[in-house]
Amino acid sequence: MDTDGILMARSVQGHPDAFVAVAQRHGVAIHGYLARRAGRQVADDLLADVWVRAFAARGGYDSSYDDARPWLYGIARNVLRAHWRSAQNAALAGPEPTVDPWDDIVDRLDSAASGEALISAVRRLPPAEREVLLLVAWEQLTPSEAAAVLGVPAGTARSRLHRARATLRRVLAAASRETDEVST
Amino acid sequence: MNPDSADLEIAKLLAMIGRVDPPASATLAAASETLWAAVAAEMLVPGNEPQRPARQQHDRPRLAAELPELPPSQA
Repeated sequence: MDTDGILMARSVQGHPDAFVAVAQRHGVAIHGYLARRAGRQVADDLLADVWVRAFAARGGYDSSYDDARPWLYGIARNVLRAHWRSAQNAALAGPEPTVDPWDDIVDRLDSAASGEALISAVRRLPPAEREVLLLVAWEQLTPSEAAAVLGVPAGTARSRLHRARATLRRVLAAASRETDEVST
Repeated sequence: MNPDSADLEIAKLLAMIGRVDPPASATLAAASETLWAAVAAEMLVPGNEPQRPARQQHDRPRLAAELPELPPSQA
């Protein structure tokens, strides 16, 4: 099976249709990335935008990378940010109040999990730390791959991840102590 | 709770709250159709037609013949 790198190189060397195989390979992963952050309906709507943007930008892909997922997540991230910006602009123009995109995700998380302390701590993390944490935890990326998605040095991603995990460990430890005190 | 088991617990909780259903096949098909339209549009642009392998094979000796001869020390 050809790597993403080979297919991407072929797609810029006179065979643009080779890109379709890359999109088909990662369709579920990219949809999951969008759905976890903006909900299923928005993911359904934005998936095609990600493919069209990625196709137009494929000339910038470094084909020495076998796995195109981090690069595609980067494109999906930009599409999502544009979507949130336009949703905010629409809200500003109309009677709707400005929305924080993370309100939506936390609403979904509240109904899906029992780890309230953790959810609340994730919400309070600085956005830059939260993004690295969730790319590693949800998309199963390495810190270096997460760095590629975010366009930051690998060391920066590693230290953000370290800080995020340290914060969440403290929150879990405090929650555990409170539970122990209540039960004794 | 030691750091390793805490990290494991965090990863488990995050995985649980990040679980989403896979997209419907119709969603993937619709996105693929949009992509194919972009691919087709690019293929229709003059000069973007796929290169034919036979032509490439034909060109290779000609290009090699056009290269200047190197002195023996660099050959």
